[in-house]
Amino acid sequence: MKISKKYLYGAVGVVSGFALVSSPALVSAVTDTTTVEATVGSAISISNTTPTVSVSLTPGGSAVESVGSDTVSVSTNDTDGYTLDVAASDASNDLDSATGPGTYSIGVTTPTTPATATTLDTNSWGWCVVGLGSCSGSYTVSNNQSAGASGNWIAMPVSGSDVEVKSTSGTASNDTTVFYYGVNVDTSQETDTYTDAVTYTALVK
Amino acid sequence: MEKKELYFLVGGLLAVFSLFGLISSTYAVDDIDTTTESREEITMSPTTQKHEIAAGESYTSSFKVVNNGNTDFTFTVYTRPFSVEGEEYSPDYSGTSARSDAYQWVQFHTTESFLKPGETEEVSYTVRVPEGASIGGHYAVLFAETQPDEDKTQGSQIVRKKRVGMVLRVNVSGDIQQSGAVLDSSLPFVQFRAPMTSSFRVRNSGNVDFDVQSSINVTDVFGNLKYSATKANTTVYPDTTRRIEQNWDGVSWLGLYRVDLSATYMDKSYNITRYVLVIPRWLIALIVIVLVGWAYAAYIKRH
Repeated sequence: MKISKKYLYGAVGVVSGFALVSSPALVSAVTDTTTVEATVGSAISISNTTPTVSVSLTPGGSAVESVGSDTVSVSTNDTDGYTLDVAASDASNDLDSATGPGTYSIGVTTPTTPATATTLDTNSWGWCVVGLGSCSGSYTVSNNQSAGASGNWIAMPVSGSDVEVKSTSGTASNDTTVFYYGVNVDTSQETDTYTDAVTYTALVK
Repeated sequence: MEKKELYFLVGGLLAVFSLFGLISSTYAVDDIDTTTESREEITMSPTTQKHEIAAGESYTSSFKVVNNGNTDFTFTVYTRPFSVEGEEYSPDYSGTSARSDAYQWVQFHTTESFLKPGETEEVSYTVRVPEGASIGGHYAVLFAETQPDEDKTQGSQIVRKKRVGMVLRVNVSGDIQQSGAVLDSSLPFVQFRAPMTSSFRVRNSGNVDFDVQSSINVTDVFGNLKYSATKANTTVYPDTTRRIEQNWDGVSWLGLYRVDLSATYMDKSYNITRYVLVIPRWLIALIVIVLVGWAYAAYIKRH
């Protein structure tokens, strides 16, 4: 078989090109060797992106509901997984008035367990995670929706009575959980700003 | 330029560009994230610490708190009682267990700190075990909790704090009784969908915790390894029973597998080997319908 010169030169060029690109690897291959050791410690992290969950409400002839959300991510290299809990940050689970703490407040809705979640009471607030117990419905993040139109809700437990939202059985990388918060008011609720703090807890199992 | 030089040059350039093309196409898979969304992330390491110490003595240790997000935060550290509920080990911070008293023995060297993105804080603490502490395991959880930025907490809103915890396991030395057993296991022969599930229940009847190392190996009927996983240290606390799961999320929708499940704890070992058939319900129903139809047709033909 006769090989044309142009193919021969082309082949030599290809080989030379590969040799050129791979030459650093070839050079490093003849240098000293070393042992790379990495110790990976156990760790767990929790994050969210939005600094606040803020809603506004403008009640008219009938009560209105506003819904906000918060996406929480958990990562861990623990092979037994993690639990994610939520509770109010202290012994109060009311949304307290900024100008008259202890005087005005928006209390929690009635259901205390995910299994009994239902629509918000008038002048109350609640939370839910879709798929948890009876947390189902249309959780649309927007203000001033019709009362009862925003799915089912649970009362936020006080600190120390945390509700377990998720329990996993393996490692996790930015495993997300979306928390929805709903507030319902009618015109009997004092005009004010109302606030409460909640705490998410991530712990390995 | 002569033709042979031209061919050499073209060939060489083709080789170089093809290699750089391969390299660049590999990197092109990872798009650069140009979003500047504010993300607050707190990390704690390690997730558990274990110490053996005599009553009346003390020791000092530490853990790390890391800011892995892209925004500053202030965090506080504090301790709470720790115990578990049920075989799924749901955490309980209310202090109902007699062994959840170690939180009273912890003193932090500092309780509040500020971290910028990428920074790490080493938090030291001292555990002082009282003279009358009972022998065996005592537990607490050490929390690191982000604090809301007061400047950003205006108006009607729900302020969120995030906390991560490290379980503190203090074993007070003395007449330590390590005792436990695998009560039973669950590895159903017929499973209808992914994940393939298996588990075993381990009972700790001693007065101190112990760790279980467990593994699962799944092979097909020809002996080819299809899945393998290990859990290195699953803690079982005194006077509790823990269900330890070994699941395979990526199992095929249809298949026959041989599953080897094993656990070692203290100086004991537990092994089971079973076959598992993964088959969807609709396929079972289809097979039943076909068989019934075939039998009916055979009956009609005979009569």
